[in-house]
Amino acid sequence: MLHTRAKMLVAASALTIGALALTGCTNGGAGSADAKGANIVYVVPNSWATTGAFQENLKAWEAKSGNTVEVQAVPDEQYDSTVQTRLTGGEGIDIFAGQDSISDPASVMLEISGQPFEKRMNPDAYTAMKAADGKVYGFPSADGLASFGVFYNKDVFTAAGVTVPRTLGDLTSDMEAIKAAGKTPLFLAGKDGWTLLQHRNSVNALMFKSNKNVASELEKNTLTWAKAPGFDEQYTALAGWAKNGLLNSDVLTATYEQSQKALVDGDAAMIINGSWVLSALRELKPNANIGFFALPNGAGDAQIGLSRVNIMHVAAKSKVAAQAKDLLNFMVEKEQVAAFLAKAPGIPAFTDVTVAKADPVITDIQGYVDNGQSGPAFDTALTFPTPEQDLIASYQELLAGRVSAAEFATAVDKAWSNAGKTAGLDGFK
Amino acid sequence: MKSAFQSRVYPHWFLLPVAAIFTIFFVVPAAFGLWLAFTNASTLSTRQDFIGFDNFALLLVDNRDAFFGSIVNQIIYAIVTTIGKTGIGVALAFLLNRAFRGRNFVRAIVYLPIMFSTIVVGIVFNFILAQKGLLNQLLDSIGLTTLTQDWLGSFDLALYSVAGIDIWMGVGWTVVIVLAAIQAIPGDVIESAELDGANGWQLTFRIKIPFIMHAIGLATLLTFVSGMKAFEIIYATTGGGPGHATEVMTTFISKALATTNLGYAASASFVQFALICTIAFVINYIVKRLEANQE
Repeated sequence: MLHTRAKMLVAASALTIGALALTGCTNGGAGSADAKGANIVYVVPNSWATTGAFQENLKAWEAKSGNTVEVQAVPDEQYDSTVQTRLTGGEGIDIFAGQDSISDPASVMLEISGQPFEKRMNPDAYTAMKAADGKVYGFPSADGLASFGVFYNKDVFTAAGVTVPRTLGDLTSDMEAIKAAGKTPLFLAGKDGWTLLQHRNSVNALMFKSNKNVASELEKNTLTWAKAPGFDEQYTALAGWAKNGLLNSDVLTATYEQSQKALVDGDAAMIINGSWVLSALRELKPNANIGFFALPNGAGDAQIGLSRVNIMHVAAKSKVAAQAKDLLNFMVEKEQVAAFLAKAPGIPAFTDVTVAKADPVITDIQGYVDNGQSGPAFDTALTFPTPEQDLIASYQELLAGRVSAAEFATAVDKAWSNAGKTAGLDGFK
Repeated sequence: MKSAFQSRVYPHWFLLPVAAIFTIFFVVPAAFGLWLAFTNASTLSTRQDFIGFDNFALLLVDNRDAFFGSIVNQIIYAIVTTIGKTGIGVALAFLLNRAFRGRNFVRAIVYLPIMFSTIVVGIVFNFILAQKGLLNQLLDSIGLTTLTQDWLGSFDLALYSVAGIDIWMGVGWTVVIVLAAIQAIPGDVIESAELDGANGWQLTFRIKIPFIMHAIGLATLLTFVSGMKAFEIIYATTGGGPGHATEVMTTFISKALATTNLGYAASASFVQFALICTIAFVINYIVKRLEANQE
């Protein structure tokens, strides 16, 4: 009797475990549609979830369509791997960003064509959305095109008696004068390593001015970073700034938020970042007297890089694809884009959108665009898996004075070569 | 009437559920991970072709400096946290075994950190240990400015600073294990020793510690293994930086995932698994020999 009961108990346990295991194999998208309307799962990086009028525009669409949007914000540094995992599992996602370099996009995202936004976009911005096969696999977001460079506090500049530098040498002189005036010339947030890469984005944008094929040559390993135009000059300058105390003393532990505060409070004269920082700066201090200039080189050239618009994809396995497309079309209609840019200033990617009262910083950036001093952002001009963590580590070593500019170049080339080899790219095997 | 075979097999039926869970949730994913290490699996495509030991060659030859550096850091980290947690844990356990007013409160305080989320602890300690953080401000205010350091930004100190945070978080776990073992020491053994004239030190080192060696050995082993797998606290505080100063195997693997080569990341994970198993067996062997010698 006891033996039989034991066998029944074991059998019941085995069935339960099997049922639990099978529930993990459930397939399909997370979106669902019922009598109350569709529920769309929209997965975004954390930093996007409260940018601009994103939430307000979503609410407006929900009210208009009767559908609901479930926004899931994932920490930025985990976003790509989280989305990859969920796409591989085939569940839990209807709209996502990233995955732009995937070799078979049709396996995870829907091809998008014949949509109203196509004719409204800046032609270069629309062309930049195309995948390697020439097709478009997503909708643009309402974000403005981002650029990278130096954001400066005009009041600190005035107090120190300096003006916007024309050359790299002028910039160094300005920084010395600002230091003599008792302020931090340049505030770098080494703890949040991705901010250091905005200096790299600024430097790389200038490279296109000297050599339009620089990205392609680096991607094919026919050019090294040490020999890239302007590389040595810029990093020698950066190493000099670190050595001569022209950066904040806590450069390796300072955070992105601290850099914003230092700039708007006038404790620091400059930060180097992307134009997305503007919305955070205005939130901290709406009337902060901030300006922008492109990182110059020794010859006085200046060029900014314009990022590709963020692309929002509809998951190939989404069960609410029609509703997802309607949502994404709504989010980039003229009114929604204008509302977004009013809160998160940027260069509009749409030709029919003008911001009524452009932020002075955006006006500064637009000036470079209007003067023909803009080109593509470096990392969006290639599909190379940039070894960001190794680059950040090398930046930190340079800023700590542990390596020279030449050693930094060697480390960058090594990281680049390893990344190409690890990804199995031609030219690096 | 059950046969002898049936009698022998019968108890093993009860292992079936846990064996099934272990197989489905541990063995199968581990085996799949090992398979990936021998393929060209990528996050950019759906391919998964067998490529032999190419990923291991990429890891152990082309990227050997970075990977071996991360192994060294991980071992140093594990040793420091093991010595800290075990040493401080045993000392605290002996202290908390004594009767004094507020003992239960102190026990709770010692155990409390282990209940905090590791990520939250990391974020909080980022503020405390920043160059202009609370610790340096406190040291400044009491005239100990010479002791202020860039705790998490110094290439020489960062690894030990993070280990210190880990020790603070995890020492309570060692205390619980060792304290339970101390309280299980037969009272007549202590009494006999005291009657024979043993003083406090002799009682501790000649009687109590040998009796609880199994618990200390277990705590040491598990703490070392935990140190060899440490990730969250390092990720939350320094992220492997500054530079590669706190780069350990686990952060190396997380960065390897960003290279798009899943097979490469899987090979690094497998090497970590093999290394931890080897070291764990060695530690276990040494502890068993020590226990045998004590007997």
